[in-house]
Amino acid sequence: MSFKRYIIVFVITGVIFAFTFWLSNQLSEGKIREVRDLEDQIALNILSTETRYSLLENSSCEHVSANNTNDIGLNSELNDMVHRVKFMASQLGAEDEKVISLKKYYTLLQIKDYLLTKELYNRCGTHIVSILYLYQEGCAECVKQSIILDDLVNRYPEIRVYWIDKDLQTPALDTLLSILNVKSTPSIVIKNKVYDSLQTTVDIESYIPQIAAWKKAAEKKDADDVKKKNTLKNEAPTSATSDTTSFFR
Amino acid sequence: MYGIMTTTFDIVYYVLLFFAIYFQVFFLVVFFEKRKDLHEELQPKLPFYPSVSFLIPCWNEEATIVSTIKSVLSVHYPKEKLHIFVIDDGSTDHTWSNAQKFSENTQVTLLKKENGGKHTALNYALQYVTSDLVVSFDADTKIVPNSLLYAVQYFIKDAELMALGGAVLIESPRTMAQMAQSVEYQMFSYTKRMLGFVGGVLVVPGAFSVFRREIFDKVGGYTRGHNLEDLELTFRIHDKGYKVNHCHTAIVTTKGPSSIRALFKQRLRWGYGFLSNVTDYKNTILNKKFGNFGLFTVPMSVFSYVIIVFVFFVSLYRISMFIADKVLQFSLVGFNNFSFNFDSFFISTSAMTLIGLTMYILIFISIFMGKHISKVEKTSLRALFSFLLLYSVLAPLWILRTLYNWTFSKRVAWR
Repeated sequence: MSFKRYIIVFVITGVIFAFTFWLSNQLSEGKIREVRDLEDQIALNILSTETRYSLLENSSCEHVSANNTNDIGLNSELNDMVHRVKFMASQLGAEDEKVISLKKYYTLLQIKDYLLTKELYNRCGTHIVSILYLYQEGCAECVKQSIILDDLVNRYPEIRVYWIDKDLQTPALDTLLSILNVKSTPSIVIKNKVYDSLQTTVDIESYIPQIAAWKKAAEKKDADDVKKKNTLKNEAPTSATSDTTSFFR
Repeated sequence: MYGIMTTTFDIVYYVLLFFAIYFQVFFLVVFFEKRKDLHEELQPKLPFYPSVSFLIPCWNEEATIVSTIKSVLSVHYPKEKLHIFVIDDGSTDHTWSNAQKFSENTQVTLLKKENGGKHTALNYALQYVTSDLVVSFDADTKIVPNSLLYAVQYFIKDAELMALGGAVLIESPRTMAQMAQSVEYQMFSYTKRMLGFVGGVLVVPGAFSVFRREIFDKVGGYTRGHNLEDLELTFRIHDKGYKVNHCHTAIVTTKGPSSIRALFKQRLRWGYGFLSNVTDYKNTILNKKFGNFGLFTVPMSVFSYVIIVFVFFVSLYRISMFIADKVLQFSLVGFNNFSFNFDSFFISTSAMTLIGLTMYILIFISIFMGKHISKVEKTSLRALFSFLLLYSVLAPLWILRTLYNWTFSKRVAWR
C-alpha cells in the first residue's frame, strides 16, 4: 500500500493554497497602492488650492466659486476614497496597519478640506454645505448614520461629508475633537453646531436650507422636461395618420 | 472574544476547504496517472464468452418491465450465453401479466414470489443461477448494446475481479431534477472510474453491476443493507478483501426521479442507508488493511457531508447578512436608484474568496471530466445550471435532514 500518491496530492494541494494566498496578497497590495495614489492626488490638489489662496490675498473671491470643484479640492474623490479604504478594512481587517495608515492620511486631508471651506466662507461668504461626521467602529447607531449620509451624498453631490473615525490616534484629530467638544458617536457637525444623536434624512434636510432650494430647482427641471416631451408628442400623430391613410388607399 | 471566534472560523474554513480541494486533486492525479489506460478497445471476438445471468427484480414496474427485458435481449452477446431472470416481488399491478409476453422465450425465466424486498428477490433468483457471471439490473433501466461486452472484457483481463459497477446515466433528461442528475451521474462515472483504478469504488450500483457468481458463495448473498443492498454488498466484498472495479464504458440509462420532491426523498434514503452501512463497516475507516477504500473513499464520503453542511451555513450567513443590510438601508433611506458604478476594486480578493473560487473551478473541472468520460459531446447549459442551482440548495438540505434522521434514528419510507 503506497502512500506516495497521498503525499503527492497533499503537496499539490499545499501549492494551490500557497499560490492563492500569494495571489490574494498581491491583489491587496495593488489595491492599497491604488488608494495611496488617490490620497496623494487629493493632497496635491489641496496643497495647490491653499497655495492659490495665499497668492491671491485680497482679490481671491471673484476667482473662486462654490461650484468650481477644481478650486476647492476634489469632493466626490474624497468620498470615493473613504469607501475604498472601508472596503480594504473589510478585506484586511480594521486593525491592519496599512489600513490605519491610509485612514490617518485621509482623515488629515479631510480636516484640511474642512478648514479650507470654512476659510472660504469667512473670506468670501461662499456657502459650501459641509457635514463633519464622527463615528466609531462597532457603534450600531453609526452604521445607520453612515447609510443615511451615504444616501444624502448620492442625492446631493454638492454636500461634503467628512468621515472621521473618533478612535484614530492622531494629534490633529485630538485637537479638532477638543475644539468641537464632541462626546459621543455618532455625532454630526453642521455650521458649527454639534448634533450628538442619530439624525434622519429629514432632520438633516431641515438643518440645511440650501437643500430645499436644490429640490425646488430639480422639481422645476423635471417639470420642464415633461413639458418638452408633451409638446413633441402633440406634434407627432398628425404625420402618422397621414401615412396610414395613404397606406390603406 | 470576537477576534478569537473569527480566527477559529477562519481556521475551520481553511482546513475544510483544504480537504475539499485535496479530494478533487486526488481524482485528477489518478486521472493523470492512468489516462492512457482509460481508452478501451472493444475486441471483435473475445477469447471466450462467459455465461451471464441478468437478475431483474421488480415491484410494480408494469410501465417499464417489457422495454427493459427487450433492451437486455438485444444486447450484443451470444444468445446461448445470456439468460434473464425476472423476479416479481409481489407486485400489485400488471407487472406479472406484462412479463408473460416473454414466457415462451427460452432466454427468459419468470419467477414470482411474495413481497419481501429487493434483496430477497435477488437472493431468490440466485439459487437458480448457474452461469459464470451474474448481473444485477433494475427494471426501469435500458442497456446500451455493447455494455455487456465492455464489462465482460474486464473480467477476462482480471481473473481476480469479483464485482464491476457499470455507468448509470440519465436518459433524455426533461425536468430540472433530471437535468441536474444527468450532470451528477456523469461526474459519478468519472469519480468511480478513478476510484476503480485505485481499488476504492464506493458502490457498484444495483441498476447495473456484474459479479462473478462465486463471490456470492464467498461472501454470502444480499442482505437488506438498510435499503441499500447494493452498497452493503460492495462494502462486504471490500471488507472480505476482494476486488471491485468500475467500467465507464458499460453504460446503462435510467430516467431518474423526475420531481425535486422525489429526488429529495431518494437522497434521504441514500444518505440514511449510507450512514448506517458505514457504521456497520466502521472497522474499514482509515484502516490500511482495506486499501484506498478504507483510507480514502469512506472517510472522504463522510467528510464531504461535513464540508457541504459547513459551506452551506457560511453561505446562508453571508446571504442573510446581505439581506439584513439591504433591509436596514431600505428602512432608513428607501429605494434609491443608485447608479451601479461597477468598479473592479470592490470585488473581494481575500484569501477566503480566492480559495472558494478555486473550489468552484475544481468542481467545473470535475463536471467536464464527467462529460469526457461518459463520452458526452453536447454541453447543455441548462443541465449545468440546473445542477449547480439545485444541488447547491438541495444537497445541504438533504444532508442536514439525513443527519437529523440519523441522530434520531427515524426510519425512512421505502418509496
